[in-house]
Amino acid sequence: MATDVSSSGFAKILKQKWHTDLLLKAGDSNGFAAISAHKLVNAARSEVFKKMLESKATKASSDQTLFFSEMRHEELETLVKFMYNDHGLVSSSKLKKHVRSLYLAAQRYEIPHLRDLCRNELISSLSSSNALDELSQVPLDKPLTDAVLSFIARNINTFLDSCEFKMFVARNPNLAVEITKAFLNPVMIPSQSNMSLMMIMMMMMTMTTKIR
Amino acid sequence: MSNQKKRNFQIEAFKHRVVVDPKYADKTWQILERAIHQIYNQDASGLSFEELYRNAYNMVLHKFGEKLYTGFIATMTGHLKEKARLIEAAQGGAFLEELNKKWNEHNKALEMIRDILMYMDRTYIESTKKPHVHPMGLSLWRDNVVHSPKIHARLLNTLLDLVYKERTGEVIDRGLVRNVTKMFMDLGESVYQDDFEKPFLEASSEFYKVESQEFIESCDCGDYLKKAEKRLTEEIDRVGHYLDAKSEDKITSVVEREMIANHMQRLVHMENSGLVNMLLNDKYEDLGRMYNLFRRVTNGLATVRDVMTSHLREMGKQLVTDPEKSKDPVEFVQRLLDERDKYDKIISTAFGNDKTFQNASNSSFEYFINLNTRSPEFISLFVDDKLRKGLKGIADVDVEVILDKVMMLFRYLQEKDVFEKYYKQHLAKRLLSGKTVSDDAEKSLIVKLKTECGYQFTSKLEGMFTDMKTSEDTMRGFYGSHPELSEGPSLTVQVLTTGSWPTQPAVPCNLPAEVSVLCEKFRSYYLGTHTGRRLSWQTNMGTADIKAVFGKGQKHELNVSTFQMCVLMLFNNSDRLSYKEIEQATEIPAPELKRCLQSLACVKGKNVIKKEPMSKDIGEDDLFVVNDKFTSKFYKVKIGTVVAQKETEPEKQETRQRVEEDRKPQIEAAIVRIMKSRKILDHNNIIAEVTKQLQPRFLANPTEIKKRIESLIERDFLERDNTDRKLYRYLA
Repeated sequence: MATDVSSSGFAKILKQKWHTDLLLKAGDSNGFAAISAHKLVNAARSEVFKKMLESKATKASSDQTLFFSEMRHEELETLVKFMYNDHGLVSSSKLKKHVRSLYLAAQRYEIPHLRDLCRNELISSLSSSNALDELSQVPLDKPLTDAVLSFIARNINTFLDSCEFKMFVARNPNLAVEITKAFLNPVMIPSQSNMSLMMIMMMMMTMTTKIR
Repeated sequence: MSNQKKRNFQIEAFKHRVVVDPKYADKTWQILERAIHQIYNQDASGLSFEELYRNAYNMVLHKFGEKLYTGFIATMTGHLKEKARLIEAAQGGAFLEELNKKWNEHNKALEMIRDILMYMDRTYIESTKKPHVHPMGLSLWRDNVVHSPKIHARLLNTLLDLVYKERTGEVIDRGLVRNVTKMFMDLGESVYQDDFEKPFLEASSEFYKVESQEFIESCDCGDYLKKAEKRLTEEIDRVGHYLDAKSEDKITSVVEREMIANHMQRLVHMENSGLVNMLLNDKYEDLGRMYNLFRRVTNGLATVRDVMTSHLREMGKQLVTDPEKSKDPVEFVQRLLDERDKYDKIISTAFGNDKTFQNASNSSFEYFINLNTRSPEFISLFVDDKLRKGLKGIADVDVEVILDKVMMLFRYLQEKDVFEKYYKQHLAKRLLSGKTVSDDAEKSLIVKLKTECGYQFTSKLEGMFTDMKTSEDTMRGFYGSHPELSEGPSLTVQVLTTGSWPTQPAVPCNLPAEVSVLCEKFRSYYLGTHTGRRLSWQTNMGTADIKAVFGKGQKHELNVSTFQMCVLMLFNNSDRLSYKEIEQATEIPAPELKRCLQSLACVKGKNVIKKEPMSKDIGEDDLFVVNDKFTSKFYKVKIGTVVAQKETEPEKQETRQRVEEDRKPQIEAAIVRIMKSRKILDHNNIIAEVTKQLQPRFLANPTEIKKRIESLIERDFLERDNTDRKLYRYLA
């Protein structure tokens, strides 16, 4: 799939560690070697990385080191690989494994391509078992939120019966409202929907009264 | 509830959720606050950007954006207040330097903080529409430092003081001032304008008001203008070095207003050095400077132009109405041309060929040239002089230049038909006496007149040239067919077509026998070849060459007019003659005869006859004898050729009358032309139209037009309307 020359070129120099000037360490990197990379490539791919590397006041050694204490080494490695070759990552198992943390990192460090990639992956792996969890995670960007909400709305019947749903509604009343909203827009399925809607509303009311 | 669900629920739920704990927010904020302190204290080298960034990010993520934002503002404000105190404490010259230094530090710090708070900038601030970090940082600086009561006024006064020093000749640190003005610009254009530019302009206005007053009391116009120009250049230079470019127009208009606009009248009218003086003395540099400075202010150029115009008109009027100057027409016209050249040069050198000035100059010339009614005559005389001898030895190109200049003056004339009349007279005399220096020059001028006035103007003039040519051919034919006449007196005849040449009444004159025989022979020859024509001899325009032998044997060839020839030939038959006898014999009219005799007897060196008594005037009882003692260095003696002179008073009246007479039919033709196309027109409009149509030739007199209308009504070309006395109708 990946046939463009530049990506194979970039991936190559990462592998070869040719003229690297940057070291990246993750939170648990003590047991691992630091990842060698190039300032230029990373700065080009993320505005935040660029600022980090620019910042004159912070440590400016000839081989600058960046710490990412909230990430694990394997996650960081995948991230860096992505910076050099986004195509190669698409169907890899690594992506699936670390999709959650990569998504968060992409949000935090403003790497739009990676974020989109991860989002698509998350959406396609939505199921009745993880949809609610997804929703309650922070942060979510709008497209992902919308996707999850509409997934839940489409499959509302599956959820209505579960205990998790009830607990979820109790803990996140505002999210329940969002689900309701999503449900009401755009397409309405008659009679069945009314019933379901009624049930959600009732449940919400019972839940909130219970809390009080 | 399935077990699988439960498991998933439990495993996934809490993995990446961060505890939303207010204490967490405080702790995170403290980290950031400390970092900001370190940045401001120039002690940031130990900080890790990515850690700070992540902390800020997390705060916003967990909905503590507001705490972060307000905290940032509070911390920064605190630091800025501190900096303000330090700046206030600075003494003298160090004040600006300290301000500058702190400003630079603040900018660096702000940049770093902005980078750290980048996530907040893009999300929290975007959604709450609060000011972004960078602009906020600038506003805080403005409010806490620049507008701090102890600094605000002091800053402005320091800057204005420096400008004042520089204006009075001291050297100042321009770079420092530039940094400060740039700071104002960075804080916002309104800050620059309100906190600096406006007071600066006011102070400058005051300064120049005072200075211009000093200068104008002590300097003359030229010096003052030099100083004003210098100040203007200085201010532009100042803007370039340490002010914002937009201030240039504002400060230059202050200088222009104070130094030039407010003193315009006084400068232009200054005694002994103002505009008039500059014009008289051809002070091109001063004039150019005045032009460049005055064009910057409203009505500047109009003022200059008006003064120049009134001066020119006044001077011109004096020139043309001065009786001394009118004595010699050639001098008169030459003076006009010189003035024209002078002003041309002034306008092209100093006034950049400005069209409005050229127009003003042209209208002034037109005004005063027409004040003297003899201008058309004089211009014609000038041309006559040039074409007779003035152009001898001058290259063709230069001839063209002179003729073009003459044409320029011609254009100014309102009474071009008067010029035409005189020109015809003078041309006739030139052609007939063979005295024209260059045929090409004559033709060239005719072409120019044709271009200017149309074919009609010059058709007769061209006819005159044609006649001259034809006459040559005729003479050849005459002598060709009468070979026996080659012995004896030789005759040269110019046959003039009556319409083309100036009308002269035929003056009677008895020609000597030898001559009249020859004339008759010519007449029959000519009428033989041209039937239906009538010839009449113009004896007042001819010349003759006579061989004379005087008492002591001196032989001379005398070149005389025809009248003079008739008189002299009489002395072949008698030694003494009285005036009356001469009059009777020649039948020449008295005034011409007297002139003729005067030139033969009373002119020193040319007195071929003696008169008794020896008075200057010719009396009826005078007696004349041949002057046997006549001597002359030359063999050929020219006596009193008919030279075009300024007309005497009666002659002038006559010519003017003829011109007026000629105008009547032209006016009538114009009226008929207009009425034919309009059919009905009222009185005022007719006058206006007629005047416009005739304007290329002469200025029509409304009274005369009215008379012509009456005459046309009498002759049934027009009629008055029955109801409205002012309306006229064309009768087919």
